[in-house]
Amino acid sequence: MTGAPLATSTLERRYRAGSSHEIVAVRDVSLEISSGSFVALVGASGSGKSTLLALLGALDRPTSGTVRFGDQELSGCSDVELARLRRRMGFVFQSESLIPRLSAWENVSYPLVAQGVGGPRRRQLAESLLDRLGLASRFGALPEELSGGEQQRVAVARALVGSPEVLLADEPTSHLDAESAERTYELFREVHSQGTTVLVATHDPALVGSATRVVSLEAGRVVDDRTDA
Amino acid sequence: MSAFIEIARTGCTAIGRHPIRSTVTIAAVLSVLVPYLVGMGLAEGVRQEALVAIGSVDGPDATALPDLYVSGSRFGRRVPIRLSAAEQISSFEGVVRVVPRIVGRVTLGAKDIEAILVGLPQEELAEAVDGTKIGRVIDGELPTSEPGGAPQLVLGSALAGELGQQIGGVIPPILRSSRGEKTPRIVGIFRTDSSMWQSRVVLTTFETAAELFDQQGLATDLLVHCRAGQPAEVSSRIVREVGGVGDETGIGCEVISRSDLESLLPVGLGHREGVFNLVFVVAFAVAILAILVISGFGLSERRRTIGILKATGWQTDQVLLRGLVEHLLLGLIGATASILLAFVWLKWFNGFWIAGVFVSGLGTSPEIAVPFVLAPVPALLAVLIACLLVTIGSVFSTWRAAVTSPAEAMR
Repeated sequence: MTGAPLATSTLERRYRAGSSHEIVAVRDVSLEISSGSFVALVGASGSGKSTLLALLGALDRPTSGTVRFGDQELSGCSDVELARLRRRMGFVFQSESLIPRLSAWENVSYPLVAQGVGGPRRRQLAESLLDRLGLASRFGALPEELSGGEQQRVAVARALVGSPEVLLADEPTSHLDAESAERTYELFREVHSQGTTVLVATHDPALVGSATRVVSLEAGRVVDDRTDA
Repeated sequence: MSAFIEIARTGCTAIGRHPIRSTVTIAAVLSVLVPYLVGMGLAEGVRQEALVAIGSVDGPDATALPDLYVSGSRFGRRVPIRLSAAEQISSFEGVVRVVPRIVGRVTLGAKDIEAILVGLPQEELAEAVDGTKIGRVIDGELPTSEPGGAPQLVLGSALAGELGQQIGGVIPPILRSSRGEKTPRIVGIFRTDSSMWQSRVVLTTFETAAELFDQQGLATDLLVHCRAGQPAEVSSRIVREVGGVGDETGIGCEVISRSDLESLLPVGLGHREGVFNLVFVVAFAVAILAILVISGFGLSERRRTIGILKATGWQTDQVLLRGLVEHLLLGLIGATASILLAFVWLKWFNGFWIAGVFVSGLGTSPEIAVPFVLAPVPALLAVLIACLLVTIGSVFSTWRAAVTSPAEAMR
């Protein structure tokens, strides 16, 4: 699998906080992320990592600047085109991203519903991923019955179920114990080795250690961009 | 197509995943639709019975009905007509027979219960109660007129119930005539499955009615049966030759044909139906607001769910389809349950509370089998209204969440 390259140009995202105060979460970010790379976004809380990931994952629209996925410029895409692009990406949110009334396997398989994948096949794919993440006994559990770490692993499985070209993960190991975190590193390394582009916003040194490139953010700006391999 | 089916399936299963929301929504639909359907069923039932009563349509208790109703007329008001006019009209070409009738208001029992007393000639009574398609509609005997004997009456089933009377019983004097006071005896009671109009009627012979009202030599109207194609001709001859200037009493006459009655009927019935419909237009508006409020419950959860769906590759139209299927199905369930409950309300609870709106005198708990027809049009309307109610109340909020960016919807 070869991921399409992601690129940003003078990207900026502002939020209005209150009636007069404005926050610039991402400012003047120009990045090129080549296919098949493993990029770690690092920085302190509030440095703009999550916002940048949301912009790269077509979950949010920039105030100015552009995001490109392959040869498509995201701001020019229709709703249907954006949805199709999102299907080529997998996104692991920081927290509370599961649908409360769906079981673990249903949460994992829900992205496939929109692609017309039948129930039995969805269940098979979901169970296989949950099994690999050590959740074989928790297939039918509702999110409220899962621990924070288990919920995060379900979210990782959901991000991977559509065999994405790009995997974007926002602090994927922040709620995990050492063993679960290790399983997740393994999985990320495995999907990366199969050609998937991986972008992870993290504080976890082990995960940063797995990355081939580390981009440091500070107050929404890229302050360091280091390629190790 | 497969995506459409899979999404529709998730919409269906969403109903079970939100039991409280679904139950409250269906309850809101039921609270509006069940009374509406009961009202429409009663309105249609009453209309059908009225049409049967005037012979517009053939009903189970239809007898040979007159073509013309002739009464006296004074200053444009209907008044009794002299009995001798019956003989005069009988001699007209095209007339088969003329039946004099007395119809008057009476009060019965200690509670002064109002009823309509109908007096018909002895030979006509048999046809009125035996000549129906469902057979004899009374239990007991037909009243007769025995000289010097007690007046004999047949009571409507609702009246008999209210008065606590049975066959063989006696009731306090209805009217005191110049020839003294007589205590009527009940010789028969209309069956509860007979026509609704018969439930509050007191039937007796023409002679007994004339005696009770102390109005000899008069009838409230003459029922004229004509040969086919002749009623118009007979009618104009009656107007020309009976009563009017040449009549020694100075009373003119008024002729109402069956088609006149048919045209008057919708006006009378439509009034109550119109008031009922108006009340329910208000109820629908309130229900839409109620469902909007209900759909507001858990709105933040729904927004978040929609954000997650969009983030994982669902298109806006797919999110809307899922919501639409869920709410249309809720509407269908609500409508189906409403139709079933309305049927139960009409059939086993006799249109409790609502029947009184359409038929005066029935009260909140009717003792007779009220007529009802659950026609397809109100039922289809119920389905449409239910679906509209539920979708209007929820699709807008779903759409609002679906068109925002996933990041914002999940925030």
